[in-house]
Order: sequence, then C-alpha cells, then structure tokens
Amino acid sequence: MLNVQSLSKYYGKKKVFDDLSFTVHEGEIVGLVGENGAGKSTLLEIVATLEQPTSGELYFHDKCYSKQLNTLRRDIGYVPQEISVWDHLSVRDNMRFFSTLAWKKRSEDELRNICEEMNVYAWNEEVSTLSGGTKRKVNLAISLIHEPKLLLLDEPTAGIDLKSKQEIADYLKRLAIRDRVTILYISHDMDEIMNLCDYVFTLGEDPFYETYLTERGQGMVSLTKQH
Amino acid sequence: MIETVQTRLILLKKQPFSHLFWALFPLLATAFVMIQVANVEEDYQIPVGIVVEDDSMLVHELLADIESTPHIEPVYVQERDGLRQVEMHELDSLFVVRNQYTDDMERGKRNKLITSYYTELSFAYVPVREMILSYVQQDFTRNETANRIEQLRNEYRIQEKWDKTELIERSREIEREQHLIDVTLSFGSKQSVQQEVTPFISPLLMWALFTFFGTAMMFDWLIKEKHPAIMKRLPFSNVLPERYFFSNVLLYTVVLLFFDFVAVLLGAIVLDEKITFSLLLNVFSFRLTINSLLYVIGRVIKTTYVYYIVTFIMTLCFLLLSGIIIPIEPVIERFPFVTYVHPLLTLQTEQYVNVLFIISIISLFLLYRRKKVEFNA
Repeated sequence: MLNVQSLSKYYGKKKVFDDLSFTVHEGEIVGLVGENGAGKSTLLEIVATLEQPTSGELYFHDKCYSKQLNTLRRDIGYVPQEISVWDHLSVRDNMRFFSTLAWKKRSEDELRNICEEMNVYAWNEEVSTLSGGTKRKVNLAISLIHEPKLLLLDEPTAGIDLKSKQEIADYLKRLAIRDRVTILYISHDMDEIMNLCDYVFTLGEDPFYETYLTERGQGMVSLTKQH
Repeated sequence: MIETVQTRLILLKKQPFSHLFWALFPLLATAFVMIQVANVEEDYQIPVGIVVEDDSMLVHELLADIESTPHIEPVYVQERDGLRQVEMHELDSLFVVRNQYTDDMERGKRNKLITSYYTELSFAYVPVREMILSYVQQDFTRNETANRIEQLRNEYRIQEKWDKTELIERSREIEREQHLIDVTLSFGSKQSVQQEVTPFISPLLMWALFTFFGTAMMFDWLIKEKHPAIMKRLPFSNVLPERYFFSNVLLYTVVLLFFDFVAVLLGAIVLDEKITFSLLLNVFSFRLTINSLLYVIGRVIKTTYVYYIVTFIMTLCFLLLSGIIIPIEPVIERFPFVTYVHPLLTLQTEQYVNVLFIISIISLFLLYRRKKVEFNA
C-alpha cells in the first residue's frame, strides 16, 4: 500500500502542490490527470524517490521514504516519459545491460519472457529500427526487470498507435491482478485512463477533468480539493 | 566491478574498433611522427658555403669535422661566387678559411682565422658558427698543447723525441676512441653529449600529447551516456549514476594503463632506453592525471560539441606549452610552477604529482557529493 501524507512541493516560493494526501492499495491501478503544470510528473518523481518533497511523508508497505530510501527503491519501477533505452543496442542487449545493473539478476530466458508478454519479439533487433510502440514496450519492460511492487509510469504510451496502447494496458492489468503490483499512471488520454484505471486522481485547479470523469461515472478523487 | 566490465562490453559491442583505435592511437601516432621526423632530419641538410684559401693538414681536419656534422652540407665555392649564393639565399651562410689559418694556429694567434658572411634569413648561421668555432677552438687547443709539450721537452732536456704531428694525431685518436667531444647541431632542443643524434621532438612528449588527445576522444562516452532519461533509471538499480561513471572511468584507467606500459616497453626497445621505476611511476601518475581531468570535464560539460571544443583547445594549449613546437625554457625559467600544472611537462621533468590531478580529485569529490544529494542516495 502506498500512503502519502500531507505532501507539499515548492520550488523556492513557487508552489507546485500543497498538502496532498492519498492512499493506493496493493494491486490497484490509479490514474493521475490534470492540466499541464499541475505537478503530475513532480508528484510521480517524488513517489519514485527522484525528487524530495518540501514537506510531508510517504510510506510504501510501511517503509518510510525518508528513512529507508535504498530498500524502497528495490520495490519501485519507474517508466520515464522519454524512451530511456540505448538506441544503438538490440532489445536483448538493452535488457541484459539493465539486468546486469539490477538488484535482482534475471536469466536471458526470463528477460525474453518479459518482452514477449508484451508482444515484443524483435529480440535481436536494434532499438533504433523499432516502431514507436515497440520502443515504448521495451521502455516498460526494462522497468520490470527487478520485479517492482510499485510501478510508476509517466505517459508511457505517448505518441503510439492504438494497438500498442491496448497491449500495454492489457499487460499492466495482468500485472496488477496476477502480481499484485500497485500502479500509478500519468496520461493525457482520458479514454485510456478510464479503460485501465480503478480510479483516478485529479490534480490542479481546473475543474475540467473532474467534470469529465464524473459525467462518465469514473471513480475519482480530487487531490487538490480534498482539503 | 564485474558488472561494470559486463555492461561496458555490452555497450562496446557496436563500436569496438573506435575504442581500440583511440587506445592504440598514441603509440601509432608517435611512431608515425617520429619516423616522419627522422626522415625529414635525414633529408634536411643546411647548405653552408666553405671557401678554402689555405691547404694544410689542419685545414683538412677542420673540413672533415664539418663534413661529419649532421645536417650540414658543406658546399665548396670561391668567395665571390659564395657571396652571391648567400645573397640569393642559396647558401645559408659562408665561411672563409683564410690562407694564414695554419700559420696563425702555429703562432698561437686566434683572431680572424675564419671570416663569415650571412644574411637576415640565415636561420642556421648562429649554431653553424658556434659549431665551426668549437672545431677551431678544439684544433687550436690541441695545437697549443702539442707546442707546450715540445717546449717542456726542450726546457727539461728530455731526450725522447715526440713529433708534434704524432702528438696531435694521438690526441685525435683519443678523441675518437673515447668520444671526448661530440657536437650535434640542434635548434631549440638541448645540446646532446651522446653519439646519437638527438631527435628534434621528444618521443615521450609526443606520446603524452597523443595520449591526452586519444583519451579525450575515447572519453566522449561520458557525455553520450549522460542521457538524462537513462540516468533516471540508475537509482532503481544496484549502481547510482556517479558510481556508474566512476567505476567505468576506473575500468578505462586500468585498461589504458596496460596500453601505456606496452607503449613504454616498445619505446624502450625501439629507442634503446632503460625502463626505470621512476618512468613507470610517472606514466602511472600521468594517466591518473589526464583521466581524472577528463572525467571532471566529461561530467561538467553537457554536450559532445562543447566537450570536443574544450578538449581540442586543451590539446592545443598542451602542445604549444610543451616545447614540441616552440622552445619554452624561458617560460619555465620565469614560471617554474608550469611544470607542476602542465601534465606533459610533469611527466617529462619527472615531478610525479600534477596540480591538475589534485584539483580534479577535489572536484570529483565535490561532484560526487552533489550528485549523491541530487539522487537522495
């Protein structure tokens, strides 16, 4: 369970968000939406331990972020917005590279299985030659090498075709149900969010997202208006 | 470290030849330059006009000495013709051995034995003049000594008779056998007392310069792998970004040290020089200095374009201040600390520790601390 308590982030005097509190249970997929600049990526980076909050505390499976950072990172899988793979290497070499550096070592067969579960079969092909959708899938596959319990995805399907989006969504659902992985997911694609997520957090002052989600009967929590 | 080796091998799979090229570049480039310089040295002869008005054994010996000097091509001419050729810059300078040369020598007179002519473009005039003067001085001293021995023999009424010519010849034999004096013509570099011709360019300096440049080209991976998105992945692995870079630089240092020592070994074999512990220690220190310096530069600079410009400028500065192109002895005399700052000079003057190395280590420590805070590690 991810438990966020009174989280605030300021860059100097500029407020990004203030006093956010929420909980995400094991195996849940939660969407994070809001207008540009609402602080979605910053929030995700704080949950990913890449940024420090100005105040507040976070816990994942009762592990405190401020005290057990290194242990926590073993449980976190982070999928950055940019495609973070070595373009000049093959899918196989990319998986081997990050597996070598991972806490949990995986055999080549296991690595291949992760890719194939997402319908990536271009095992020996150079990443630069792959389609945008396949690149995105490889980007996700790398984050799953160490079997994280908390998966944070920052627009993982940006700019890819519908089929690839669906394949990624199916895979994430399987991950949440089968492996009980907690997933926090940022996207601007509301159809995708509603199709995939158990409920959605909205961030920012703009009522658009809340109205949109309420009208369509999506389970929704406004993080900004909570207080 | 095993993880570093494995990941490095994966990354190098697609570009093994470029790394191998830059690793071998210092050795190959040094060998190429030294061969070219040796060829140029062999081919390059300074035409110096010689007018011989006197004809004696002494003069013949002087001419033999001049002919045996490397890089000097004596051209025997008449004075008038020689002057014309000097004016036309066909000859670098002209030396006239006057007809009273031998007589004056015998009488112990040293003034105006040889007359010289040169122009403002006679760039080799001064060293050639000094060289000829040294031969004349040598012959004069030899002659004087023989005269003095003869005088002493007469004073002390020694019965045994020594011929003056014999004494002079014996003196020459001793000189040849024991290499008492060896004069080589050189420009900018120091005078040598060894029989071999001193190379114009120090192979060690040349190798050090190419090593810096080759390592700088190889270390562009520091920028290329500083992909911000990929760096975001590393906190979720066993290796934090700064440790990733540090362990890779360490790996490169170990591998490049192997290439360095191979170069030193080959250099010692080819140049017939001894490998001393001091030399090895200096090469080790030089490698640590340039690698740590390039590591700091690679971590601070964000784009490969700026990195290449900075390292090119640094290579140029090191070249200009190394003494390879222009003499820098006056600079070193005035600012002796230069040898502690310039990695090539530190290596050449065997100072062991370079200031840049200390600065780099401090910078790395600060950089490591900053990045550690940045990633909350």
